[in-house]
Amino acid sequence: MNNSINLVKVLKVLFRAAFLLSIVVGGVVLLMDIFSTDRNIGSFYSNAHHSAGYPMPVIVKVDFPDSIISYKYPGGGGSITYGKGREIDVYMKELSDSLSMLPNVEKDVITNEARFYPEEARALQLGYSSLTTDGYLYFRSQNLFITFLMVLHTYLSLILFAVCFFQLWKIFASLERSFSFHVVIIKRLNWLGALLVLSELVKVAMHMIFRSYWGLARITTLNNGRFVSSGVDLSFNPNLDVNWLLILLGLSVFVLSALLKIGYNLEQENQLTI
Amino acid sequence: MPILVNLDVMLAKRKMKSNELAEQIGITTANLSILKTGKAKAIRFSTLDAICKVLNCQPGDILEFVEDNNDVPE
Repeated sequence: MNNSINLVKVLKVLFRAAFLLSIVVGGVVLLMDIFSTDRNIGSFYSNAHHSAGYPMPVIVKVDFPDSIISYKYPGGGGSITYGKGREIDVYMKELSDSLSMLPNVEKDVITNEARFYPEEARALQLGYSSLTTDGYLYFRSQNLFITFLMVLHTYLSLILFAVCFFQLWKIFASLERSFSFHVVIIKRLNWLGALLVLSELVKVAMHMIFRSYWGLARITTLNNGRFVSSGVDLSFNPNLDVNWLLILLGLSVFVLSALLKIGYNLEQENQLTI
Repeated sequence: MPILVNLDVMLAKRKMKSNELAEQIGITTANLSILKTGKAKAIRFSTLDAICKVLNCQPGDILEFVEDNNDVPE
């Protein structure tokens, strides 16, 4: 029992500090965004600022050929691109095989290698010619509605953190005063659950709007305005980025709150049993 | 609540005060007040036993069932 009360005291202090910190950090970031044209103040660097745009979760996909063989011969030339997992055209295959037979062909081989640093000495070569990862892209939009959604999306996490820390701080403060069931704790837990689920659902709705608005962003290599198949192809697809864990956590908090309500009723009944 | 607590009637019959009864049965006057005003959700057998012993009565002298029309199933 004493250990639990000590833990409650520690958690109360931690959540209070976390709440105050989130308010200070959130406040500074918001004030910088509103009043400053620069995203740096001294060594402090703001991640969300209107000058650079707001972060949007994306799936980044990079396609690159393993090797490109350019060949020149009197009267012509061309290039053959090899990529793991890419279908090689039969004609190109035959052409590639016949290249070594031709006497006056100049060959230039470019190889794309994906290496993981700093393990340079034992460089790992990928078994495929495509990389996919999650990330954030900083966008600025001319559309006011989209800009509003992006600002809201950026600050929603900060607001969520601040409110969750506040609720947890108050729950543990209440438990510190009296380590038993309270209506206040039940109400605060309900708030916490609703916040976790709703904020995540709102985020998913925003991501769906971003997805339908932007579709697919791409960086490709062009030669005189024409697509070059031998170049690196980088594509960014707005990510739905659903955090199922938070949604499940929110729903579990609802169940815990219902359980606490039963406990509260039992305690009340026990107190009114003479 | 269809169960009435007639503790004040028995106390008047025995000419005893609430605080005397509370002291003799070992509960607080606040808890005895909850019992007298009908706010109690339940009564322990041990408390009922102590009250009956001190007031020299039967449980039926203290508790009374009154039919409540609102509680009657249709």
